[in-house]
Amino acid sequence: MDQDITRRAFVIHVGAAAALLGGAVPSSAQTPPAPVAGKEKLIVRSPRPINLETPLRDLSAEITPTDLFFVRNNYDGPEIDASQYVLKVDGEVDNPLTLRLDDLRRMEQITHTITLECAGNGRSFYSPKAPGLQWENGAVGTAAWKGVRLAEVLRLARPRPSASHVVPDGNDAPPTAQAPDFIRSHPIWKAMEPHTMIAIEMNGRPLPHLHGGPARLIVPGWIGSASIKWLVQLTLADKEWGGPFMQRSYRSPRVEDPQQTYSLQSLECKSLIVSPLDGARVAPGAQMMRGYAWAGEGSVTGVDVSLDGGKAWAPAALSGPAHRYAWRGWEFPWTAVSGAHTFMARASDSLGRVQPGGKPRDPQGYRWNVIHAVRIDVA
Amino acid sequence: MWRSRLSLALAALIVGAPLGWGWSWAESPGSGAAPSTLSAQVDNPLPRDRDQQLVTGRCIICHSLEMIAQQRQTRAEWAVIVDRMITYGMPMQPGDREQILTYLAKHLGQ
Repeated sequence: MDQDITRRAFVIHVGAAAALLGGAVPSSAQTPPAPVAGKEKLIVRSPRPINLETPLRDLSAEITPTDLFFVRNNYDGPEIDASQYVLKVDGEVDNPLTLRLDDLRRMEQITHTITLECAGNGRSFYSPKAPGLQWENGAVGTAAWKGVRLAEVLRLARPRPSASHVVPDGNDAPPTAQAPDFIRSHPIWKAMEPHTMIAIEMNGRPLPHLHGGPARLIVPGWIGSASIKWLVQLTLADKEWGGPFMQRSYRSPRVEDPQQTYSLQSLECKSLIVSPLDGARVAPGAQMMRGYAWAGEGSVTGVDVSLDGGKAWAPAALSGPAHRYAWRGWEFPWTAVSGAHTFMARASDSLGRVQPGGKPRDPQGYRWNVIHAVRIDVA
Repeated sequence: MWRSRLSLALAALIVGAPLGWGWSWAESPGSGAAPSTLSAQVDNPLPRDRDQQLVTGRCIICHSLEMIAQQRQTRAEWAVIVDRMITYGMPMQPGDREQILTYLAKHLGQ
């Protein structure tokens, strides 16, 4: 039954599947922009502001090495001398704070393995094209983040009952006086969630500037833009932030009323095949298909794979540790026989979500989670 | 500090861009006047045409040209983006908006 429904979905969404396989905007005939120091393997989507995508072949480890971790900036920011770093906490609080990096280091430290994904990851696969950086699959990565619970910092500031939202601001600078500051707010319940943190280390090293160092928010399970970089101010407020990065960007149409939009929070339920890669030539015999699946506020409950372009599906084995807000490894042994094959992977989660075979265009190109497919040749 | 230094550089560009400096700086590395941020744009990813320099000069003030070159949008969709950029301080002369939209729709349309 489930397979039948899925097969019909594939017929209906054949156009989207073609886009999925056909892929991205054709690359420019011009010389690609120079690689960014320390991130030489990443695809430069934009040198200014810096936006770098991880090639799928480099997403093979459970923990993405820092030099392979994607970078997404709305604006660039100046490097901050760690000894001069100051975080202010103000607004609807009884005890406004000014904290230095050493103050954060002296608080209880927590470490969590957490997956970050840009809301626009996969945007290039929408047809017709949506505006914005044309990410393929690699604006996602998983790191071990160390720092302090945001809740602990907020408790020190003693929020008033009126404090319903946290408004974080980073040290990035809009390029003109008229352009809006990059600010997005969070409801207090998510700020107080014990995994939400101010990170000062990434993968065992001081948080690099490109990833928001010396200190950034990590809002686990939510779209990457929630995890404000170069964090210098936390303002407690009695309402959601009213600026354009909250009220215009990072929003999608409501299912029940597409004329209305909602502010994106949780990531979608999604999986990627990281081996074999699209276009791979594989030797006959015993092989292993591998990938990752994640689900934002949900937990991955299963990944089904298809070796025949979506006709038949079989469950893959989930592998590796199951961290609350990190992607989950999966693998599926298969026997390679000569010919061309289309492999697919489809994740499902604890919220009842299943990756779709296609989806309507999102006006701003967010939330792409259509089933990932790769074409391979066995010879 | 960061902002004021940036503003100074931008003011120079905003004044200069309508005069056609925006791109000629980048193409004349020997002039000594090119800000370092422009020198990385010697390989202009925007399609060559009459208004390539106009679009380059207006847009490179705030962001790299790759941000534009990778887009495919209808004229109406480009108008939404360009009008937003105007509110963000994009320098405009009379007639620029139409020329820019015509260029974008012709070369980076869908």
